[in-house]
Amino acid sequence: MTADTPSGDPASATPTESTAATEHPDPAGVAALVTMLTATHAAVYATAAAGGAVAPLGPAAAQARELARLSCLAHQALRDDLITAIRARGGDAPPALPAYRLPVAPEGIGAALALLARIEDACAMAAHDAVAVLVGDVRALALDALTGTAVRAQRARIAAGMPLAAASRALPGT
Amino acid sequence: MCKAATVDPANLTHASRRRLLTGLTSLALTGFAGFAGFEAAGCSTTVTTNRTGPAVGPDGDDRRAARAAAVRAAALAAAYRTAAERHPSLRPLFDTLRAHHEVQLRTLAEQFPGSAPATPTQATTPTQAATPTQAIGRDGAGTAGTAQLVNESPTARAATLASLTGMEGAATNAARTDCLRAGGPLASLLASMCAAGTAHAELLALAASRVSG
Repeated sequence: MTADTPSGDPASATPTESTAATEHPDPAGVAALVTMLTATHAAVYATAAAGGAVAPLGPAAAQARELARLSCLAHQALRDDLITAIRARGGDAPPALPAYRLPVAPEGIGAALALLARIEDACAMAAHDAVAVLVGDVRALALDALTGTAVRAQRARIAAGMPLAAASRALPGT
Repeated sequence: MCKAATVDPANLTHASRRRLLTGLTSLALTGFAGFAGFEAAGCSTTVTTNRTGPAVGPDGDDRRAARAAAVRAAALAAAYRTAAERHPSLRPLFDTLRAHHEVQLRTLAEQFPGSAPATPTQATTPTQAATPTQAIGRDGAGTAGTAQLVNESPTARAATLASLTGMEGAATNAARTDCLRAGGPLASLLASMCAAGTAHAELLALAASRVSG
């Protein structure tokens, strides 16, 4: 028996730890948030890997290091917000995996920047799709996440030497 | 635990990603982990969205928001076209950003038929100083008007960039506001336009710093 199928069963009216979520179930919204969180967990791992890879490369890698650091911090903050939002809706926030296989090995500055851009593009897709099913403050969260990913991906492409005109996207996340 | 699979997001088509995310194929997270660009082992989920194609029957508020977004995109496209004629040295950047707004306009028209503005070239001019007249040749074919209107001075370029940045900022703010009110299908498109506008503004600021530097 679920809260959205009321019956005369007294058990169905028993409060639980996720009373709010069961009174107003939003499985699609929770799933969208979980999808964003999954991508964000991976992004935290990957941005840390990118930053670590360029750490010993000296002043030439300073910009890449800074971009990786800022990206990692942004994804960590988003991760925490997503976990809070999921739990507030009675959902289970999946933990990060021990490791992720990176789409680009951050061997060198260029590869690290390419990895950063790829990560942001991937997270943009999750945020873009989440906007459609979320409402209220969590839609704003997804919208701001999408904007952040678009800007950070663009910065990574510019830092990699891409011309300004080629660094942006018409519709980020699509 | 599920066996991980590598899926490069760059190789996913728009349609395949939509299918994945709409849960039509009930793909486990194995697929999504690949979509996200990473290979993960363990866990499963799907995401259900309520949009897999053109919007059907948007309400009046959404229609108005879509039309307003189209008007903004058309105005920005026209402004970039004008600015490119005024400042040929910045044409690669301006042409790209114009193309972005034209893509947005086409996408709006496809997903929300009827949203296209009646006069798509009705431009809000970047700046009075940077506004060429309608007489300027689109192909730069050496008319007297073109010669007079081209202005590559740092001051004029900076003024144009600042004005375009302002236009992008205003459009972004409007898209954000409408996004938070809109129905799902329109909201995601407006969110993307909002993100693009923010990125555009940053590009323009960067270009301005190079002009002044």
